Amino acid sequence: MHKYIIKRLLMLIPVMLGISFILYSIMTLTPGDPAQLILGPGATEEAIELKRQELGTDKGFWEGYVDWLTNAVQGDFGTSYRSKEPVFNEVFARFPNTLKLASSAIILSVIFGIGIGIFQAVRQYSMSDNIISGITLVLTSMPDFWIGLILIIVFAVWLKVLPASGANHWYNFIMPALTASVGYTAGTIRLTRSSMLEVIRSDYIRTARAKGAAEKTIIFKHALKNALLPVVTLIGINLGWQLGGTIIVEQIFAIPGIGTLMIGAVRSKDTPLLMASVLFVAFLSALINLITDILYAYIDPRIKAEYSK
Amino acid sequence: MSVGTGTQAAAAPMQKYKKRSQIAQIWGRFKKNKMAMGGLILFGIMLIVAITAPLFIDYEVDVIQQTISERFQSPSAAHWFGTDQFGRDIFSRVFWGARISMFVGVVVVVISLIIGSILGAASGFFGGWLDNVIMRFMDILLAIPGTMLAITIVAALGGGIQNLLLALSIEQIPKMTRIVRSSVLTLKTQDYIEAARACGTTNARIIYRHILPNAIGPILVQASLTVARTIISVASMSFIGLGINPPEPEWGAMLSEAKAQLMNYPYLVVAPGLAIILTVTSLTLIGDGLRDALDPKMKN
Repeated sequence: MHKYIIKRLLMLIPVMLGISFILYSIMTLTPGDPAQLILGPGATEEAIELKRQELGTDKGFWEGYVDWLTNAVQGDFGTSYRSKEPVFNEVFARFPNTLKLASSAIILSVIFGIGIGIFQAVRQYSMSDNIISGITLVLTSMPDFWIGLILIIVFAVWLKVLPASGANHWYNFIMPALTASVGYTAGTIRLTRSSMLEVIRSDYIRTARAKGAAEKTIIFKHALKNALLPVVTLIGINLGWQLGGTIIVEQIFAIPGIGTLMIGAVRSKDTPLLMASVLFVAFLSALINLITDILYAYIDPRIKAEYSK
Repeated sequence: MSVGTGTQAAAAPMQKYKKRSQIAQIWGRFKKNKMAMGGLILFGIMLIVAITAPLFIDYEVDVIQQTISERFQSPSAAHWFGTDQFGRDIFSRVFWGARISMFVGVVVVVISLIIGSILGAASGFFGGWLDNVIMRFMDILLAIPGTMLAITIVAALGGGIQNLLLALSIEQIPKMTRIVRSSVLTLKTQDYIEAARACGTTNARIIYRHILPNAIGPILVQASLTVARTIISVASMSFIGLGINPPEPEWGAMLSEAKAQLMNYPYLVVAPGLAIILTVTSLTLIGDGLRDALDPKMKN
């Protein structure tokens, strides 16, 4: 197991290198000069040249990347072209908002997803099962920003009970979290339902029924444990994905998170800031996936046996 | 099956059954699924609307011409879905929008399907260093979470349909590659491939004639779901101003304009949103139906 974890962590190194190179290429090879953008259209040629030297963008493509890499390996990811602050200051200032949004969305999707999924599975093919299946199908097909707009209309414009934008109070996050959670909730419902149905049909559940165990015990004690295994993986993937996927929701509700930071960085050609923010999120989501896999091994002894071979 | 001599040898014990291609078998099961057929019919209608829109909608007059005297009209007989802040008929714009969304969705699938099939087939079939190089590169692309990669590309290159096609295709290629690769891996050890090889068939012909036709099932499922995801991505990116630029009536761009009028004219968000939901739902139904048709055991 330890070997496996170390191997997975080592595999992150080339992946992070690759991501940094792709991002660097996108930023440097596309049109637009950060020095020119900072100084504005009226700047003289000398002033722009000086600014380029100051920012370090006067170097060639390869030299620039190797410089960045040499510093990054030593823990220095550079300073933002615009704010002159070390990039991680900005990333860490914005990250709590994204984390709050992503994790509350995932918590909502877990509570509703698993709850409704079980409810459906124990009432397979009933009227309520069919209706919920129809609703989840439509929910998976809805763009999250549209749900956000509808929530704003209902709760901010008509009922006037929730603010349409901002990130200062906990209630600012109610609508964004709901918006971000809908797609994931629908996915969790579908997976929980099908996984539960599969488990309910297995022999050991029939045995439990035959020996006269109460239906509640069968569902929550016997079936749920096995049925939740694939759901745990999905939750891990969702959380990792969500950290980079809240961009649109952040934009609708004007939440200053990583996504907003990232778009701003690309637009102002702030290469170090963009690389730091994307690398940070990619690293975190890779770690979350690794933790999910480890967790999975602990909940399912069969998998653990696989690893120790 | 119509995949050549190798297959017939392997399928010899099943000779008494009528020979049917894999696609025909999938279609036979797909037809019986009412939800899936409903999705297919719905999608067919949307596709016909998208293709024939120029016959009954005049782009210059109905879609982009601004008529200030007719702004913000509620739905009426003349304007079924009302008019927007520039007095443009929302009905015409939503129908024209189907052209853009369908076009982007289909082109992205075709591009990612072609590139993904080549990479995935080469990777799975030849294995070794080639597999390593291709798949490690795909891992890197897949390790950038959410829509960050596509958004970075479009934000760096600027909006517009070409950059959007490029960004969304790059996002989808790794997924296609993985799916094709895993199908190829399971197929290449089959006896009929061994037989084809023994007959001296070239690698290219084995991949093209024997492996890919039999891997078509999972690819079709992924393709229909990719069109669905892409339509949502296009709308999302246009919504935050990183996609199709106004005055093009892309659904997400329309919703973005509607957002500014949310306080006074909330009806503006209804039609484009419903158009997205209908299209994506129909594609999801098709994808789910295909998945069930491929593996009848999976249906619960």
